[in-house]
Amino acid sequence: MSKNLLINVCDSNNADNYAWSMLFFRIDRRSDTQPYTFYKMRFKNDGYLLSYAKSLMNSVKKYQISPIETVQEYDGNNTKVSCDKISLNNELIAQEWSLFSDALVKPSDEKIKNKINGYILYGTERRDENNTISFIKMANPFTNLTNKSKVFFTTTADDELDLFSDDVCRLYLNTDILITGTTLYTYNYSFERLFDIEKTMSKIKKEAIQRITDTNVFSDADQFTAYASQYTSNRTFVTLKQERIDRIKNNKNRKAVAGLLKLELDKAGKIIIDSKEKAALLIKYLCYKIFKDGETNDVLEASSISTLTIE
Amino acid sequence: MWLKFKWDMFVTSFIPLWVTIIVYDLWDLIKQLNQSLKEDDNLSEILCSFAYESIIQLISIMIIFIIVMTSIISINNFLKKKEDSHQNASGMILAAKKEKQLSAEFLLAYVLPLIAFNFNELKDLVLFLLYFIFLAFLCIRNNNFYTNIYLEFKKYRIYSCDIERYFPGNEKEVFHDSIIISKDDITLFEKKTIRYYDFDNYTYIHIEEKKANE
Repeated sequence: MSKNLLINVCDSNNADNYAWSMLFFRIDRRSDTQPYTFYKMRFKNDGYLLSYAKSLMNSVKKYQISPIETVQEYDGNNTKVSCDKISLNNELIAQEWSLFSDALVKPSDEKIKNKINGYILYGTERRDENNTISFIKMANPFTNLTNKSKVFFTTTADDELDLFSDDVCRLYLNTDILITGTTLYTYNYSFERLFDIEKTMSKIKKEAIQRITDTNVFSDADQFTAYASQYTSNRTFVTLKQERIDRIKNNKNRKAVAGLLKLELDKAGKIIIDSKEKAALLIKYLCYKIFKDGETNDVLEASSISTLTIE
Repeated sequence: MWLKFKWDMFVTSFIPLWVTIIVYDLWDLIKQLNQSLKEDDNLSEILCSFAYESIIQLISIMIIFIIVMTSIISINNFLKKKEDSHQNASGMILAAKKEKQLSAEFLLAYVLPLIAFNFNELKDLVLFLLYFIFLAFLCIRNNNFYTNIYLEFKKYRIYSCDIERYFPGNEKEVFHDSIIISKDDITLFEKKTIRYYDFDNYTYIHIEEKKANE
């Protein structure tokens, strides 16, 4: 469904129906208030941008959307054959998106002096201005062609060759992020860098551990918190399932879960977590990384699990 | 092109000044020529001495004429290009009012003081150029050239508006007290979408795009 939507959105025949704008951006995390700075790029001829948008849409559709098998909700561990989608209102990116968006609406017209971290091409549909499509590439478009292995020359008006040492602007015919409506689609993990998701995930980890601790199912809650905090992958906590938290709250189900994970219970039926391995095991279970095979009763671990709809 | 457009807008903002300088110089030249003709020398000698004595005025008239005409042609071409294009951004006018005072204020505050220079004196001319270069630098850097007298002649008017613009992720942003230069009466466009070319986030030219078959 989402794949078809992306194919329709990226139909290059639709490019004429949009008014396109191009902004370059710089990210400086040293700034506490606003890490993003945008620069409005103006082209000598409006047709250049339209022509680039057409080529980009065509290429994205052919090489980035057609090969994908599925479009999955972002969970931090999706496979490379999928395209991840995440709502702009998702807690993982909402705050950073808000900063990004605030900076984007007020771009600078100043000359670019510092290194650029990426660019955004966005189109506003001419018939329905609320409908926008955006392509974000996390790469510095400015490059110098001259390097250790090549030297470039340009022809002058006098038919002589002159050394070409200026920076050139290179726009890619692929994208890292596509935004349509209020949904962000991504083909790689560049958007994590764009929205500093590691920092957000660290907050999510703390909140998740607090949510688990608040269930009051541990023999020693402080000990669990200490071991859980040592769990290294913050990404795992993105998929914390409320259904599994509810399951360990129930005495009967908790016994079953403890049996499955080979965890000990105290006399009051509360889980004893006395090592970081045990804490990790429980976290993985609660975050839907561990499940039981119904046919063989084997306990399996997977980085990403999605429910198939078989008709 | 963007910097050139800013320069052209700045130069044409001062059209009353350029006209004043040309009239001032021409007046002096005619007066001088008239006096020279009364003398008994032959005509070729009179013209040679006149050209030699009035070289500063003659050159300044020529330079001003060329610069202003180039800027006028560039602005016309620029606006025509934008009207032919279908890539102009759009925004919805939420509120608009006519700015009646801005052009007159600009004339009094920026143009009138410059007329005080005596353009026949080389020293005054150099001082005028220095002052004008500083003014150009500040105006172009701050995009402060929307009170354009040439555009007034072309029937454009200045409006102060609240305009809502559209951004990625279905985001909307209202830019309050923005300046819009338009040939049409923008006060009639409230709650309607217009196409524009933006100088910066708060200054726009309304572009009436031509239809594809025109």
